[in-house]
Amino acid sequence: MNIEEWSGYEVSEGVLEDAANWIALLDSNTLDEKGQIAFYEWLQAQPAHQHAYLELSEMWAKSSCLKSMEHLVEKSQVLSFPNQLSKHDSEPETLPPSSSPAWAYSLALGLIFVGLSMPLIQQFV
Amino acid sequence: MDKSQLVNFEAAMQEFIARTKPQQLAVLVNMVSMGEAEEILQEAYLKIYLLVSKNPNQERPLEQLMSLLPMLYSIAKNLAISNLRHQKVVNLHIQKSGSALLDSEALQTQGSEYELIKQDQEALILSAINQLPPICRQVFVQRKLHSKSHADIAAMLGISTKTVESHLAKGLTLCREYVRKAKQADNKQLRANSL
Repeated sequence: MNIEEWSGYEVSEGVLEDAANWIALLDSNTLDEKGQIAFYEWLQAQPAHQHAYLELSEMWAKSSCLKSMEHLVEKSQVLSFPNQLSKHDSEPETLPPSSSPAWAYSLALGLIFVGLSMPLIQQFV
Repeated sequence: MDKSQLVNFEAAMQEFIARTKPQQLAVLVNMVSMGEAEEILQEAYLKIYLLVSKNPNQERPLEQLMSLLPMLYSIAKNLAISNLRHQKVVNLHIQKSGSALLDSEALQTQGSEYELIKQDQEALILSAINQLPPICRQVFVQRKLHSKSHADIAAMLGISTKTVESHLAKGLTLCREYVRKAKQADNKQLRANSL
């Protein structure tokens, strides 16, 4: 089974932009009833709209989950997470090469979050 | 929704499930066990239900539900993929623990391995956010991590709420692109490792 091929559903840039605009608009909380109905009409009109909306709204929701780590970042200064760091160290080639210096900074921040979120994750498992 | 609408909506949901479930199950059992397929579908139907129930327009509920069939299929497929991906990593771990990784401290237990998958996803989104263009990133972080309203962010940065909205939309598509590329590279890595 090739997961990548099976899941590879390409949606056009334009549809993705529309979906992102709808999500941002819904998020603004300024959408009246007419606007909401228009959103559902857009969503129901085409499978591609649904794929784009689903993918982006999941990402939108996931990025909200990061919020729960915010307080941990501010409080904790100690990073005692060497075991998992060694696993991530072997990953550079999995990320786009275009972003080398900025990317290193991003990964470092990402790893800090990984370490800091450990106790939080454990609570829920 | 008033009461009669609710009754209609519930009936439409029953009908929607009756019409679509056998076919959805038939597809899913090619990927996961029957038990998992049932569970996945239940979750997918719930998501569609919650979505459609928020539409102010509750006319022709069955038609509305049926038009969201591609989304139901995608939701179920995504859930099946994440089940499979988890299984794949666990299997890979079992294979490897017989050889090179036995003396490595990096992967200690299957449980922590699974937690790492979840954390990887969050770390990936974080690095996606970090690579956004400066203002876009600031808007995104203020909204998603600090829960500031669009109006607050607009005032803070001296821009209009429409601009806040467009930065959020732009940030979201850029994050999606970043995560998609990273995952593609990651899948290739997984396949190469399992050869």
